Amino acid sequence: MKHRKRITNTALILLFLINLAVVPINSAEVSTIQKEIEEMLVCQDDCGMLVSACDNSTASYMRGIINDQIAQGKSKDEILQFFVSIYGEQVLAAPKPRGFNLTAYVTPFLAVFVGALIIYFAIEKWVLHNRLSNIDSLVADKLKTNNEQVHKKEYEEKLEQELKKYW
Amino acid sequence: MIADIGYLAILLSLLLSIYAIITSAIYLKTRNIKFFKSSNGAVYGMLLLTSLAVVSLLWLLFKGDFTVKYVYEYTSSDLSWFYRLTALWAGNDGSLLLWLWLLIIYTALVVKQNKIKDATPIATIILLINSFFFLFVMAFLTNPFEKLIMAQIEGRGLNPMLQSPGMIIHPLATYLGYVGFAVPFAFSMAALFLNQSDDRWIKVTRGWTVIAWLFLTIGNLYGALWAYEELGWGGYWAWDPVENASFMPWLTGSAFLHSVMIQERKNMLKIWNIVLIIITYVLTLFGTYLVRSGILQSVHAFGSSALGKYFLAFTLFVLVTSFVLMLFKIKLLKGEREFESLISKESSFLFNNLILLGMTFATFWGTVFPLISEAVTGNKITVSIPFFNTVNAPLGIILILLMGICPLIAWRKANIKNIIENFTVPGVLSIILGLILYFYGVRKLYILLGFVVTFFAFTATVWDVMKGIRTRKRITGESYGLSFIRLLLRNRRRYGGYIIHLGILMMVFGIIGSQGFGIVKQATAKVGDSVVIGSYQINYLDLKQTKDGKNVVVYAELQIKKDDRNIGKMTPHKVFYPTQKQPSTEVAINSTWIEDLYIILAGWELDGNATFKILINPLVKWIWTGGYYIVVGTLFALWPGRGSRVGGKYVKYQVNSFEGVEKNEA
Repeated sequence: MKHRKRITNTALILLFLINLAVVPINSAEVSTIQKEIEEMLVCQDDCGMLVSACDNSTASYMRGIINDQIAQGKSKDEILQFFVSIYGEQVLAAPKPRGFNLTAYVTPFLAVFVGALIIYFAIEKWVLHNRLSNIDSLVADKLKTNNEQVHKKEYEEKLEQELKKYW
Repeated sequence: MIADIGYLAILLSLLLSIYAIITSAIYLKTRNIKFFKSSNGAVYGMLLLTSLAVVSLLWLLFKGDFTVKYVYEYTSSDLSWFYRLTALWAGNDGSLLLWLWLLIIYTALVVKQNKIKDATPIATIILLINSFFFLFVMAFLTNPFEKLIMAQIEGRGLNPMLQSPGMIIHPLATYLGYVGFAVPFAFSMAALFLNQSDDRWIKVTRGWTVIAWLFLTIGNLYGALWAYEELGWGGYWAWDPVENASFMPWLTGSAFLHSVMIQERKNMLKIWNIVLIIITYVLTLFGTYLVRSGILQSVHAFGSSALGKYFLAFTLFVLVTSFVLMLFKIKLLKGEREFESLISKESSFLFNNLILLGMTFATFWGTVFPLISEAVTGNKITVSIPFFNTVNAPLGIILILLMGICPLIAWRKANIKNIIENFTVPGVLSIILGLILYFYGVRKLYILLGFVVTFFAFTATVWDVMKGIRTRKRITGESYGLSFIRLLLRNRRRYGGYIIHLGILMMVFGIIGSQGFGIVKQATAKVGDSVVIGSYQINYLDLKQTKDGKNVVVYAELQIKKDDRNIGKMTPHKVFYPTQKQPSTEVAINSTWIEDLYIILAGWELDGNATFKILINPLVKWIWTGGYYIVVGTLFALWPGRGSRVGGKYVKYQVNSFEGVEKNEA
């Protein structure tokens, strides 16, 4: 039984080894341009991960192609275009900002901009409304005070006349 | 037998949910307390029954009863008892049961607390309608107790990636967060039904909201930690649709927590707060739809299933009915409009809300854009990390800037003196830092801006605390230490918020560092070889094999030196599971405050040559530490007692439902 398990385990490990695809032969720091390109491409093995992050054989294969093309002196755009020509635009981790896909980039900022305008004008309106109501209440207070003074004066005059009648 | 008991418990709970909804409705109509009590009894009965269902499933998982489909699909006999139990939320059916159970626990707590006597029955009905939906789904669409036609002797096993401590906290915390938002949502709807325009529903549910937000924060954070340690790709956040699904309610929940302060202080933004809580709750439902519909590709999804359309229908139902109700009551929600200046705390909060909502929209837009683009153009496209970073980075920088401004700016109206007093020192220090970083070679705009703005928010917060200490010391004559402690304790709600902000800033600091300065190296080495990366020297000592239970572990033994100083051994490994085709990658991480050395054993050959992917991820430890600050800050702010209450109102006259009209001193 133990023997059979050992065989199974060894077979599993061997299977994994067979699955390993091309790996770099030497120790090499991933260059900035290679890193940038790997981060702009999605592994085409249905894993949904970026080529820079994925460890499966398809991603290793794609990394190998990027490495070769950089060595051939191709630019970043040329390498990306090469992958698009093979896999279609879905190989790019973000759509190119052109045509309809431009709306993907523009819409969020447009929404925030419109929102900012709405908030700005709403606050302006509320501030104005607040100032006007303050002015109204000040005027009302003033009028009230004036009226009270007029009434007081009238009352005092009337009182004086009445008093004169009796004194 | 146990499976039958579990299923029966779900069916009975479904019937009880209908009964509780009907009796609550009758109580609202007749005000006969018997119906209210009966409804409450039914809720407790549902709690008992769903608990029984959960225990039944846990028992079946623990015992490894492979006659049950769910047990067969997510466990195996070699799985440790601990992970057999955590398999409760490994699959669609079990996770729905967990969701339902949490929802019913929350409903029972709402019933028990009965904080707003007239609103509780309506809030309970709303929560019960949600429970009814989940019970219906489990009873008739995806039964966790479904039996196999032919019993199996061995299960398929648990996905190795889910066999991690992070997978215990992450789903539980996320669900506690998701479900927690149901309570403020239910009370907001109840307030609308009852024509209550005051902020009682906000006050009563504040604890629920903050705790739900905290759990969602922890859920997201542990999800990131799990991705970092278990997925073995060197990152922690991939803007995956399901990650986005839990990030969006976190953003709107954060906006809600800030904007309710305006309602509490100034009786404003009533409509806006209702909108925010509706969006937040609907986004939690949208998340469950995304996970279960298979509409978008995700490593977290439960795969494509027919459930998606039911969840979509329910999500739309909740969205439409809530908005219709709000529109019917819109006149009721007209609040005060007391803005005295464009430059004030109130307006800075509004802009903070705008940015949080903007980020939510950008994330939502990016998540669904592949579907929209395919529908319009017919071409399949991918929207992944570069897109989300491009749209969210500038908004994030503005948000952090506002995080520095908001707490320091005065309520009502900020004057020049106030602005100079609060922002001169933080502003000047931040500019100096920016210049230093620039001359030290930090030239990437977002990285430079990110550091400067984060530092500004940090110094502004610290500056404000220092000002508070100085003032307190001057008035009371206490020592600096005592002034600091008492200042914090007397106003825990405010300073708890500051601690949370500091936690967020630490996280942002870590995110900027790890995104801007990471190094990657891929190396194939023979035993005895050395690989140099940054200031590290990695000596490949040996490749070994061992056993962990029934699993086979292959690991590389590495001796690590940093600046010629020995810092110990690291052992990246791969684990082979008898029940899984692919091995799992277990990375080795040496974490410090400066950087993480992150090593992945990518593969090996029979002669012992091994391939490593080595990363230096700067400042990652700050992300996790920031998370702990958030937890501490939230608990500090929330802990009941003196200092946890809202400050004074900033309105001329406050109409209070209970106390009539009272004059407030601003």
